[in-house]
Amino acid sequence: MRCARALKAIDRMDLRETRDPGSALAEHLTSCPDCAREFRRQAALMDLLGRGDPPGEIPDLAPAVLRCLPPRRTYRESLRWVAAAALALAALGLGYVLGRAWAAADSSSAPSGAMMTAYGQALADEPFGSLERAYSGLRPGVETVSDGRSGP
Amino acid sequence: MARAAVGDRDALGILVRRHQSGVYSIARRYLGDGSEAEDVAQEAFLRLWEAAARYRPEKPLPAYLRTITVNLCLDRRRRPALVPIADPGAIQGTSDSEAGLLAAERQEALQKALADLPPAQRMAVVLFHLEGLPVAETARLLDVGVKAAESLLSRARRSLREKLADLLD
Repeated sequence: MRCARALKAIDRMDLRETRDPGSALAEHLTSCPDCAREFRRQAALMDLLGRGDPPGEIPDLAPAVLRCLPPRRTYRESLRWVAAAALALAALGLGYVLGRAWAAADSSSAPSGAMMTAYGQALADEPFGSLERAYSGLRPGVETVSDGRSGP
Repeated sequence: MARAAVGDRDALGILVRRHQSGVYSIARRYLGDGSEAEDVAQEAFLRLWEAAARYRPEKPLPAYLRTITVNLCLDRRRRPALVPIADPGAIQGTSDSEAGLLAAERQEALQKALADLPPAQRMAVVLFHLEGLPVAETARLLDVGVKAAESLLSRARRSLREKLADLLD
């Protein structure tokens, strides 16, 4: 075994269960004082790391953790939230119903599509024409304007 | 845990007292500072509280808490203070004798050498050598494969041997 391989083998050894380097490495260690020294150092390092004592006194963390929790929601507070949500939903529903009713009422008094087309045509024929002329286009048979042109 | 999941604070208190030593120990050994370790440990339990409803009992709670703690520690990227290996009080208890002084001196040197390691190597040493976890669990906590964890440990051990050569001879 060469030194580079022996050193890698030593690095890998955690020496937790056995201090036996294995036959191939052991043979190398007997003939190589440098690697033997590294093996001794590794064993000493493992002894140093091996102390399993807890790192100082363990503080009681429970009071501090419980203090950091978000405030508990009471039953009365939860009830208030439910009531507020219900009210908001009711308001939304009412708004929707009223909106629909208003839209229905509005559509019955709005001009029909044919009326709007005629009004648009009148404006296109005579961009600066009066409203009376446009109106006459919407109501055939009713003469409202006498500007020299004949109505529809 | 099931009680904590439905908002039982007393249950969380019991969980904290049952598992605080494991959580605090990792944080203290990695960060090297008691108050910072307390912050991390508290944060770990608060995360547990937030995730309690999603917790699946197939995963053991200590392992779950270790995962949270390791991630919180590694998120604190700055260099740690000295990494405590053993209770300083326990060392001082024997410091009357020459052997006690020597032990304290060796522990202090080791703490300094550990604090100089890169974060992943330091955490690997904390988990495997100081906490005594298996290499597979160390790998899982570091989110690497077993071979990569072994490699981290090998490099850490070589680095420590070089830094502590005088002490170890």
